Amino acid sequence: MTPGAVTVVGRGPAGLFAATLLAAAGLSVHVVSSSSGTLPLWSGRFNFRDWDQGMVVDNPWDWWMEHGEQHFVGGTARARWRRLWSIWRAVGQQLGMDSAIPERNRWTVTPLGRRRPVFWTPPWELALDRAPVAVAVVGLEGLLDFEPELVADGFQGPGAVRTLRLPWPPDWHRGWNTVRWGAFLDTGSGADWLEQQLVRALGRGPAGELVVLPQVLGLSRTDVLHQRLERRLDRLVREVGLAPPGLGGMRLEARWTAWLLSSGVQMHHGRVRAIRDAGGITLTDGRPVGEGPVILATGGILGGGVCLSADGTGVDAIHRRLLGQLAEGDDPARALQWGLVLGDGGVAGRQTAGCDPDVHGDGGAVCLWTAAEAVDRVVPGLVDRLSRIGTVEVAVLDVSVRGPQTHKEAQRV
Amino acid sequence: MVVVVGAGATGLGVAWDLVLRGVPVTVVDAGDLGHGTSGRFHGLLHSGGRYVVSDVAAARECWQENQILRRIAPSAVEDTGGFFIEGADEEGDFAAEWVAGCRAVGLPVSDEAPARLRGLVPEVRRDLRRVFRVPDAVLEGFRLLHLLRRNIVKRGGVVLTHTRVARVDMTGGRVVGVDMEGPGGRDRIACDVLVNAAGPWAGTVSQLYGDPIPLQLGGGLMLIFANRHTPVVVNRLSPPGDGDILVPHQSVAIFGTTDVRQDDPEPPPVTRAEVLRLMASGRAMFPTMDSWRVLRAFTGVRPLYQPADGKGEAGSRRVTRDFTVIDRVRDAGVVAVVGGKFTTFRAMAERTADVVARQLGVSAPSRTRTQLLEAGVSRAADSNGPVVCECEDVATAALAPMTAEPLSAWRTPTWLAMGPCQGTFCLHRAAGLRRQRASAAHVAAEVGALRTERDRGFTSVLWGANAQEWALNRAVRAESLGEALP
Ligand SMILES: Cc1cc2nc3c(=O)[nH]c(=O)nc-3n(C[C@H](O)[C@H](O)[C@H](O)COP(=O)(O)OP(=O)(O)OC[C@H]3O[C@@H](n4cnc5c(N)ncnc54)[C@H](O)[C@@H]3O)c2cc1C
Ligand SMILES: Cc1cc2nc3c(=O)[nH]c(=O)nc-3n(C[C@H](O)[C@H](O)[C@H](O)COP(=O)(O)OP(=O)(O)OC[C@H]3O[C@@H](n4cnc5c(N)ncnc54)[C@H](O)[C@@H]3O)c2cc1C
Repeated sequence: MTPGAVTVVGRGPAGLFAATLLAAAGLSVHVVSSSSGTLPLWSGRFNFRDWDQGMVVDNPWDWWMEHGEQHFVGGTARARWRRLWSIWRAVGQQLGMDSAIPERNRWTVTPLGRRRPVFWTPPWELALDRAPVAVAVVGLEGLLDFEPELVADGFQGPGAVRTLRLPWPPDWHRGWNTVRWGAFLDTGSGADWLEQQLVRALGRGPAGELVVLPQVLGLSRTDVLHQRLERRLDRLVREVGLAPPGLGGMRLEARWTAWLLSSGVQMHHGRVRAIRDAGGITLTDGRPVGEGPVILATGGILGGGVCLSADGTGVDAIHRRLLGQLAEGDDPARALQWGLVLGDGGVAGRQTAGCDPDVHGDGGAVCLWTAAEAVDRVVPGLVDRLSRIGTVEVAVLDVSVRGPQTHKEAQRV
Repeated sequence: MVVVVGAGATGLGVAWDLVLRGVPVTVVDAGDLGHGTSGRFHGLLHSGGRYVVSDVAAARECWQENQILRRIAPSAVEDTGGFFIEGADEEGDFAAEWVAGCRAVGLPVSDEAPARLRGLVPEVRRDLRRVFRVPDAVLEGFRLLHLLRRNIVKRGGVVLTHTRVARVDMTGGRVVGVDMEGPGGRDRIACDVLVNAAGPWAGTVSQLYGDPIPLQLGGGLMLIFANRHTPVVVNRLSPPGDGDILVPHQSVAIFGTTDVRQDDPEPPPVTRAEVLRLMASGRAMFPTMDSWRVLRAFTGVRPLYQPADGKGEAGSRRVTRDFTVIDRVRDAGVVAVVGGKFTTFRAMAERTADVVARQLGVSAPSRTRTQLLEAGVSRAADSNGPVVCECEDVATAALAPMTAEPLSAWRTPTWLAMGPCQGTFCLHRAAGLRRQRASAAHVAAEVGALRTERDRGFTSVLWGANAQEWALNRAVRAESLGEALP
């Protein structure tokens, strides 16, 4: 029997994606969360599978086909993955981010000047499949989160790399963090300032030069500013995702929440204490919220879904079920893989046992795959039936997956 | 020339005393300032109250030095005051003995209403029998060490960090020089007197000049909690034991400590069992301690001079039960000083410098009792330029003078990466500043080293919100910054 309503606990990427699938299928959806999820902390790029035992994975599609069986989510068919990424592509389009789903991992550079793999990124974020012929890494005076010399280390290669630094804008002061920079660049005068400074600093530059900026191109008017800069500079302009707070994730979260609300999803604030037999949940203050079956997307230790105590035990914060015990001398990182297993009912995201996106680089895959599994568990067949996300049709991707699996012989450094 | 081994409170104190007497001094430390116990202590400027029953001489000395340090290093002392609290279940009448002890030492102590303390420290246990106020204070250890260095250097002394004394050259039974290993390779300095102020490593160093000092070592554990929890130092009124003092420090509070025998002078790793034991004593004073947000755990090592029954006592002055100045071998030009407390470092240094001065034939008396340790730029003036570390409000102006040094040396003078986020939100910024002066490979190695150092105190206290903070720290490192995880 298909329920008319579902309650999702948590509004990190996994919770939002689960709510999206349910809402797109026309169900009544409640999202309950104690705070925002991780999205405001990162750039909102979605990784699929970056590393395998310290080696960079070149083709993550193939990796999943080869290793899915042993992975926490169990084996999964190519068709299923293709369907999930097709849906994700439609979500992106619905949220104003029409980025292709790549066939292979690409790479980006971090604020520490290291290369790391990336899979799906919003249109504004840096993702390369080969070293650019020329790069201008442009820092902002006083924005210490992005030191051009350090970032440029990640581009060393055949291409020409130059570093530049734009001077302080007129009303800058020492307390300006990335969010404040974003707010400034959302204003008309901020956007004018940036454009003028970039034009002046970059000059003509070599042909095909890529312009790399810190991720501060506004919060609410990013697309306009981004396109304007690319047109005016006649070059590709890309942002590098920074350490938290992450403006990319904030943009994504704001668009996503707004769309869910406009689709009739009800958002509730509060900490969940228990799941009600009658449907929905009970908050710590005793109030009942939501209805129908429950999907937990509570984010493991990081999100608050798993609690560690001083004696080394870890419990699921809602069921109070014992998940594991750290003994003296154990590597505490083990506890990051504690969580519920899919068979426990609707469980999605980082809360899923065995997942550790920090080590695997598969945050996007985990969120999408487990959210879809959880949704299918409470509403069987929903994912396969879904034909549109809001106004966007789900167009099944044509990803030509080639084998055999290829690993780049690059150590993760 | 006098060479002092060890840039802890004691070694720097000896150097300060000697430069004021006009004696040229070089201090050599294998690590950074405060690499030893002086960077791993509880931060209490003892009033002496803790020792009035067990060690009257030490108590008297603490009280005297407490007053002196407030005068000569006001910028490193926060005059919080302290309380001794007696719970209703405390057996015997230790309080009476203790009050008598305070009188004998001349320590000003006042009987307070328990309700007054509860007004200040709402989280203290409710059933208090008696509460006393004493002139305890908070000692900002790192600040004092940096203050000492600045003043020593200003008067012509030399302080070499990351430089290990590897060999002592004894010719004709007398020290003539030391061989050092530093960042620039091996080096040698000639000297007339060598001062062994190597704290827990004093035994190891003493072997270099062939007069092994028998030491008994004890490791002590401390827990740092986010939030101050108390505006005053809170001591348990009972014979000194484990886990009986809470000291507020800036925006955090430190609870400690324990004392576990060990053989190695290096600080012991933190064990979960030890943490739980300390928490149990903590709950006896602060019933809600389990719900406090923990930040870090760290350990320090106490050296105790242990001469085998009178043997080898000749030439050593046991000043209190607490510390000893050792120059057993006549005319060898080697003086060792072991034991003591941070609070009494100046007195220890004065006694040691007296011995050194006598050996050198210098008649100038010690002036450290009254000489002000001049503070440099204040922290407020340092807060110029963009913010690097939000937790501790460290700005670029404070770091600018340090960019030529490795990242590990930025931490203690400025408190960078030592706040609640433990570097999660700021280390990459420091790395950016450092990159202007160092190669990419150097910066990467230094970031890794600092992460490892921070992790040591982090991973043993992973519960509650601190586990979340640690998980975030890991995600930022691996996912946002692309660092390799340990
Ligand atoms: C710094 C950082 C960088 C990252 N970088 C990348 C990247 O480059 N690529 C990538 O693919 N992924 C990245 N990620 C994402 C990461 O890999 C995970 O995939 C992601 O954090 C998991 O999201 P989640 O939805 O499972 O949980 P979270 O986002 O943690 O959400 C958990 C939610 O549950 C709620 N909650 C928990 N307990 C309760 C309760 N009892 N009652 C009510 N609500 C509750 C919380 O309030 C929160 O809303 C990054 C994450 C971080 C933190
Ligand atoms: C757990 C604990 C808590 C404490 N709490 C307090 C308190 O609250 N209040 C208080 O007043 N006192 C306290 N103390 C005591 C106080 O911390 C110490 O007495 C004091 O710090 C000792 O300083 P030091 O200079 O003698 O030794 P250290 O600070 O240990 O200095 C020795 C130095 O020698 C260097 N060294 C060693 N070998 C070599 C070599 N071969 N070459 C070059 N350098 C070398 C080391 O790197 C080190 O920096 C505490 C002690 C412990 C253990």
